[in-house]
Amino acid sequence: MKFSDFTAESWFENRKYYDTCLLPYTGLSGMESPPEAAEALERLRDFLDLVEKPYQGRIVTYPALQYNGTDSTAYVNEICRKVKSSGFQYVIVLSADISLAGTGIVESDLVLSLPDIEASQNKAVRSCIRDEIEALWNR
Amino acid sequence: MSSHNNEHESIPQGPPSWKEMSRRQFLTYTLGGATAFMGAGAILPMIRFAVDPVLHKKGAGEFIKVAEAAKITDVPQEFTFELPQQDGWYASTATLTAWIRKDENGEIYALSPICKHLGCTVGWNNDKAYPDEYHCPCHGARYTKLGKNLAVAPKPLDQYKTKIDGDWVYLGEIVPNTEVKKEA
Repeated sequence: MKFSDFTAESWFENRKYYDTCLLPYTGLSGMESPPEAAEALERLRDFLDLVEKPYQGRIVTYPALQYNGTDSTAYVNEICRKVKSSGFQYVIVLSADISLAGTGIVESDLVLSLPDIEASQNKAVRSCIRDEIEALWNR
Repeated sequence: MSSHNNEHESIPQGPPSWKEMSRRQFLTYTLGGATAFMGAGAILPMIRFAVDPVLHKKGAGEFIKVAEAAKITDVPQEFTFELPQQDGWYASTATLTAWIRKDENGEIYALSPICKHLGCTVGWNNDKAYPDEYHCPCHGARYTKLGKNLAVAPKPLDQYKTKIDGDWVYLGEIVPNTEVKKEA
């Protein structure tokens, strides 16, 4: 579910079921033209669909971190830490455009990066995501 | 003089009867009618535009060809298909999944994989602890082959309306499960 789908009452009532936060990371540089920025957001949306829809009863999608800069890793780590301190057990950082392997996002429990998945897996993206998320929950 | 008085007395006094419309009434009715007619001419097309999607028949989109009937076995198989959707004026295509199987009597049915607990997607035989069941990875809801809820979920899995035509399986809208009742 998206963060905006909850009211204060529905969140209070159901929060025990939602233990995983999904942080979308667009990774814009600021150099993009408007159509390029729109395309980046569309790619992120399509990639998000592969995670949000199958697990909408357990994962809450938070507002996206849009820009990528020199201190981005520290910033993402800080957000992950705060999100977990607010009560989420797991945080997943997801990006459709930038490789997150080896970037040091150590505060997240799982990093899903489309370029990394496409580079390293022979499996379909959908089944790779499923395996990664379900392995996270079954640790 | 007397004839003048007689003429004066013959003019009716008081409000006109219903047969005799006064000039004031005539103007009121004429202007009111003309205003109402012109107003309706402007408003009716707007109303027609507003309710346009409701007036369209569902038509051809009701059943989608999904799988060859000959390939359906008693083990549920996952099929993905595209369904054209119309949300108001916004036309889109939804990708849907169905688990299709043939029961002991050879009748084909298709279950929706949306868990009836909180809407995650269930899979067939994806939990080794509970073989030959549908399992939800989010909170452990489990269902039988027929979609009967065994744990966590409050209701059986929904199913698609199913039609067999020319050796093909066609799926329609999602409806509440009837296969569980058949078994009972």
